[in-house]
Amino acid sequence: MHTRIQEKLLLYVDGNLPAEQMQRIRAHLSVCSACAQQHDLLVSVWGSEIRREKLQPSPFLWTRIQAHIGEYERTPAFVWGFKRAVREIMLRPFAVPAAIAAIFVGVYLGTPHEPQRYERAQSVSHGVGAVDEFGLDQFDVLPPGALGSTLVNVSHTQK
Amino acid sequence: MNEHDLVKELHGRNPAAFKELFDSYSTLVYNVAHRMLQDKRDAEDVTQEVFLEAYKSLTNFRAESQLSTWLYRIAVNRSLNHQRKKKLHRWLALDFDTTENSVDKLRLHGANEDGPDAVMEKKDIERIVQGAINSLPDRQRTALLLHRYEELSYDDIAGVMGVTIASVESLLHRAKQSLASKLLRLKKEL
Repeated sequence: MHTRIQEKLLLYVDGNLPAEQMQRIRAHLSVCSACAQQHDLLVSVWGSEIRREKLQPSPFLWTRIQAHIGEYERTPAFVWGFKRAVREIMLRPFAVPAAIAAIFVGVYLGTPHEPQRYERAQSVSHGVGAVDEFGLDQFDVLPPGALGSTLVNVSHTQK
Repeated sequence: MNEHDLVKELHGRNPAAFKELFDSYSTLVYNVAHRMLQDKRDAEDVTQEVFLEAYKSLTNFRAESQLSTWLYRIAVNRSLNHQRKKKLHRWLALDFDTTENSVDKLRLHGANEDGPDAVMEKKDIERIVQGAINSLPDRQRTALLLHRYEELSYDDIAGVMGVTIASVESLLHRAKQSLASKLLRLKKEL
């Protein structure tokens, strides 16, 4: 009961409730000291005088606006349209998760996922079939230590 | 120049008319932005954006509403966008401090050091109220700020927010219900 009354206290202070509810709350406040105390607290906080004096912007604001307008007039319309579209999209709640998901998808697609083919290529290149596969019999024997000498010489030896 | 003539001149992109628009409404726009953002620099940035947006959209303004309502609408939307952009930048910078403009920050800075019996100064009270309002959802906060500080009627608020009067009443009702418990809690703790 008290929580429901206290929720409505601000509306009561501002007179934003129907007459019947206002009367019911008034009656409750007259008998409940806890709620009456809450009411007084709210009046002291919410009912205090509001700062109504208006703040003034910087005197240089007009100069800055003129500068931006000048830039706008010099820039083609489609550029502004594009910038606005990008800004609108990036402010959408889904923009950041979508960007992160796109990065993950890109990384996944760019990573090789077929080790079998790689291993098969390795076995072919190191096996007997390498000579026929790569036409290694067309090459002279390489001196030891030369790049690729292990592969070619093994192939020649196997042959 | 009355509003009708001013709008006519603005459609013709008369520079003097635009200057008059700025002179007449820059304070209004700046104060709305400041209420929503609680920062002078941000409020100036938003004011700049509002008038630039107004300049670009002058030919689209059909005078179905008042100039003030139109500018209020742009100011509110820009302020909310600015706030979201700041939150996004903080999130991307891995700054997860949620105390900015929140109720917790008032606990950190709002206590009156003179002791519990000291009379709370007006600015402390205002800070409490503003902090509690800032913790409301965007639409409730917007409606409450426009009603309480800009003293707009329900009809005007509905025009600014693009909703019905019934929606405005509902937003204000829910806002005040939430605020009651927040204010009581804050006042007790400080």
